Amino acid sequence: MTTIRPFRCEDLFCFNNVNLDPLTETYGLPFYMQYLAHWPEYFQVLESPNGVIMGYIMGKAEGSGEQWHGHVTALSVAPEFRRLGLAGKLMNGLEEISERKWCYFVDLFVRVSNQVAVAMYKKLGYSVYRQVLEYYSGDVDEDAYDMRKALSRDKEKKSVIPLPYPVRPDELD
Amino acid sequence: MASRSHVDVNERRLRPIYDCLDNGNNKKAIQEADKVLKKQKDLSCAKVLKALALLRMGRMSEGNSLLAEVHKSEPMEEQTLNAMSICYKETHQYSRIASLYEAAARQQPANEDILSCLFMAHVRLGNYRDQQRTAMALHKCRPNKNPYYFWAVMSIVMQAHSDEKLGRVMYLPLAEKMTNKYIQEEKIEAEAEILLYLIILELQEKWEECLTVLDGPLGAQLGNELNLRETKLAHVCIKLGKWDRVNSIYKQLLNHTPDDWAFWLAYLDSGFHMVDEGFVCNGEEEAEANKSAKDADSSAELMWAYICEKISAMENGVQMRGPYLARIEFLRRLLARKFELAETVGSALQHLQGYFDLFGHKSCCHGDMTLFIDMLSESQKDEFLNHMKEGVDLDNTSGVLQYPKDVNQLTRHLVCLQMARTMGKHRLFALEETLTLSQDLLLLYREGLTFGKELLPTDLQYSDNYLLLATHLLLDAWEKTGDDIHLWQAIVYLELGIRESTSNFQFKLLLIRLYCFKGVFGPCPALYDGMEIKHIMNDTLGYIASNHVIRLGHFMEAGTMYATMVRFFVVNQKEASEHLMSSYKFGSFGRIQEFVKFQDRLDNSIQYHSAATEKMLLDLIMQTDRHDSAEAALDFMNVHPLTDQPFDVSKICDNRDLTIALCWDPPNILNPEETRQQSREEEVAFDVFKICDNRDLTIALCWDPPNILNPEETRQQSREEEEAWLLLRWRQLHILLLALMVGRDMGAGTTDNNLLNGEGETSKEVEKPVDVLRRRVDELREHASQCAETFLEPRKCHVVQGPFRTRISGVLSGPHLGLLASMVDCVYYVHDLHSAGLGKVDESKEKLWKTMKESAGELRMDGVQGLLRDINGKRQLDSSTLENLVASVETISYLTILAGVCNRGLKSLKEKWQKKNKKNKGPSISQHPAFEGFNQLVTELSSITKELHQAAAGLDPVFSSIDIASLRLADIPEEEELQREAERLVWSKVERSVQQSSREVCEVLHHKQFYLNTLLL
Repeated sequence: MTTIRPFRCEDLFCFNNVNLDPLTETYGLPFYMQYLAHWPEYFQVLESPNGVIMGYIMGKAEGSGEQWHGHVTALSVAPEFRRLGLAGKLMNGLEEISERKWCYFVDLFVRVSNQVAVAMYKKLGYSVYRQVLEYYSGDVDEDAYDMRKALSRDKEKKSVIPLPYPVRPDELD
Repeated sequence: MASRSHVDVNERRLRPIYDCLDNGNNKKAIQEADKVLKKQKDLSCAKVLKALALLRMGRMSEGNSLLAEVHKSEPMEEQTLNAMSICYKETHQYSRIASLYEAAARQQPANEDILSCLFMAHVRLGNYRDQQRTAMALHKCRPNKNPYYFWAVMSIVMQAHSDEKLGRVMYLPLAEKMTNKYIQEEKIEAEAEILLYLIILELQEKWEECLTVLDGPLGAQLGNELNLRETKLAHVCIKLGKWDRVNSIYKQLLNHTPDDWAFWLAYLDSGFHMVDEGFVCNGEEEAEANKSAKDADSSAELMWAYICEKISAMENGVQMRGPYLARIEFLRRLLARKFELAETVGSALQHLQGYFDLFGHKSCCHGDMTLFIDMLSESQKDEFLNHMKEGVDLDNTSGVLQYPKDVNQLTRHLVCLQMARTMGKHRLFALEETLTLSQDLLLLYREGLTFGKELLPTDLQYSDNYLLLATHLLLDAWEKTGDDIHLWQAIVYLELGIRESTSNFQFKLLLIRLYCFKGVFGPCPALYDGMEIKHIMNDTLGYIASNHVIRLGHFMEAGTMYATMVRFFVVNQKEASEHLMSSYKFGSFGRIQEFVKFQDRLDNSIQYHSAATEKMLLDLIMQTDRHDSAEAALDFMNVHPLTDQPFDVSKICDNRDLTIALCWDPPNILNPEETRQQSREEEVAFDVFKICDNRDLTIALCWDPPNILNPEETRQQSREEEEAWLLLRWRQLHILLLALMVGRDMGAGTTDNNLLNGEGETSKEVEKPVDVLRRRVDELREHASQCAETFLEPRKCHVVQGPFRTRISGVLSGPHLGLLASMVDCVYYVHDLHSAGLGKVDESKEKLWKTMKESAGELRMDGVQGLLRDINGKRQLDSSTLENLVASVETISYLTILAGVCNRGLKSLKEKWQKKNKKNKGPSISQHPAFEGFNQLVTELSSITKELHQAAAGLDPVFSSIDIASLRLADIPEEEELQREAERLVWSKVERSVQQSSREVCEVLHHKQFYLNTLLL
């Protein structure tokens, strides 16, 4: 009992209950606006029956050739709406759009320490493709897992064969 | 034309300049540019880069004149144009970019790059007509590139938005015709183009045409966004009243996603539309033509069957909430129509009980069920609560507290407790019961922490809401008894809670609120920053701190906070056009109007205007210890007192999130919308601005009954208050700035007359500062008397969620506005003397000084002895003294500035008089009484300032004889060492905060005394 709909500008005025969560970054407006203008179909929000924003997903499609893929930029669910499988719902939507765009795979970055998220993505069919060193800057820099899931176009699942060595952020393509 | 090698040479020569600019070494960039210009004095790009470096160093006039020189030469080469655009962007001269490319395009009418830069320059200016013209030029130059053509179409649509009447008869039909042409010629390439066509048709409400498009081959191409075609179709069919079609569309969508609440509502809406209208399927033929209509559920029985089917489909699989809630919603609609079928469906009580049994272990269960509790009678509510209690299975009747065995049971228990609160049961408690439950919840909270041992610091504890409920109960007790002991206890609970659950923002929100209730701002910045409130949250959540920071005398923090808030809005205004440009670039035409509206909402935000106004008033208090510095403020503030108009209330936005704090109180108590309205009312009554209230007023969790919370009414009330207050502050600010202008003119020896003569015709159109000043003072008087009817009594706000009141009531009921106006009368008098010269003494005017002197005495505060008061026989902390003191400090600062203005006029008169006296060898001319009258007033102001200083110093607990730490605020059992420690910590925070307030107030007053001393003639 949730409504999934496209994210609208005015949602920025009421997504506080999601964004006050410490792991959810609040970006400057240009960041959201760029996604809304460029990849509107990849920016979806979940609304509860009484109109509260429960969570949202932001993503995009990019890359060329066999690197053409869907990317999850941000995914967050407000604390009171966790344990309802909402993140999975949002991820499914993003995968479906990526399928329609004939992408090879979907990828995302997650903090190595965020075990809950890593476990959840694994459950949704994602695997660690590589580790990115000091991807997150902060008081102490933190590594990221680059996790991937192959889509139907990548029949041999070449895109998810794990890299045996970690890479630096500047080596990302 | 330059040969390629020539270009390369230029590039090589310019490279070092670019490098220096990139590294921020502007000085060296200028040197490098000069070096190049020595060799090639006409290389315009080098000149522009030099100008850029000059601008970045703040040498504006040099940079701008260099730019103007190049601009005049109408440059064409890309590099120069680019560099110039950067210069103009950085200095916000956006119309210059358009004129720059306009000139270049005139010379090279077929240059695609130049034209497309010109198009974007017009987008930045919102100049739709020129956008259209440029897009058509681009289209002529590249007829095969579709986007250019559709840029023109979209520019026409935007003209329709700005002129609705012409839009209907001219712009939209033209846009439709242009798009139609491409459709007929089969030149449509992108989904964006089809969507734009639909936008045009929708704006003209041509629903049949929309339907044709969506049903046709173009509609089939809409596949990028999930369910886009279906939802658009349904939208159009609703407009056309084709309920069967709507119903079948949502039925199909529900078949895929049976949990989507919006789909269920639309399914039921359309179904009941058919039921109410007595829908009959129009014969076999039509049904055949419109297949989908055939499977529409046009009767209550069919819908019932569908809902049952969806519920039974989940029998052995994953349980989804949607179909179950749809069943209750269906029942509600049946009951409203008194349909017999309702009996078959069952009772709301039965279904809600079943819902709790199934989903009680999900924390969202409470929110789901609140939608339907109004379907229950009072006795059914009790029955429902009993059912839930049994389901939770924690039998506490024996007197021994039972603890949940796992997280599921804990969550069910919480849902049950929250529901009891929403039903208003907690309001019925006697004080004893309230406190007992609160204590039990604290124990349950502590015990519940054991389930969360493995959680990361970024997670919330499962049992956190027990603690929140416990504090809400304490606040009930506080409201009921007025005894602060309960409020301090709540603060101590929350402080302890934050240690266990460091990222619980609900604890932080509530703590800020409670500390501010007691006049303690000190701990708030850390809590506020701990929630990482930034970017757009400055608009929606800034109110939680900004309404208190000045009120409680934390001037330094206020300066920082307001500056951060204002910076967000200003930076965003600069960047706003970039989003519009990307929308054209990526063809997301549907976003353009949305972005424009969004920007409007930010530009007119009440938070923005409040922060900007408060910041300037604060600067006038803080950064002035001499009159010169007050006058200097005129120049660095970005206001134009002679021409600025006050805001238009109807346009102000309230973007505050007033419901962010968790609260389970009954809605009639919470009433957030009423509170918002009340708190907005105090802030504006402007006529020329559109103010938006973007506050997120519901961010604080709250489980109070809906009649208590009432968010919409709260917002309305709070909004009116905020608006009235903002308007009041805006007028105060403008009165001060205009008076400063009057003083500056007098000081410079210019009278209004020679100003007019000096500047010729044009200056006649600009009003004289003194005239605008008179108008503003009249407006302030009128506004104050209007406000007195509504805002004299402080607005009551809900403890957890209601937006806090403004300071309007205190300012209206004190002497502040009257004093400001009287002091301006003195300014008028001095201005008259200054323009007419010291002639005959006007005794009636001379009285002004004395009257002012006497009334200023009202600012004195007698008997300030710290912040502790005996209330109801208990020593309690009372922050009203602090708030009153701050208001007096503000007023004395304003009066000082106005006295400074008088000094400007009188000083030059006195100098003239002295000169005359020296020349006159006979008996000395008697001194004009204005000098003495003014001096006496200044002396009095100085003495008031001194007394306020003493009062402020008296607040400081260190200086007061009372030992604050020895006062027990909360009755905490001795054995609770942890609590005692937390209590001590809270106390030291209180003490430090009061000291800080006292210190900052003293500092300001110290500066005022210095300022006043310089004013004596």
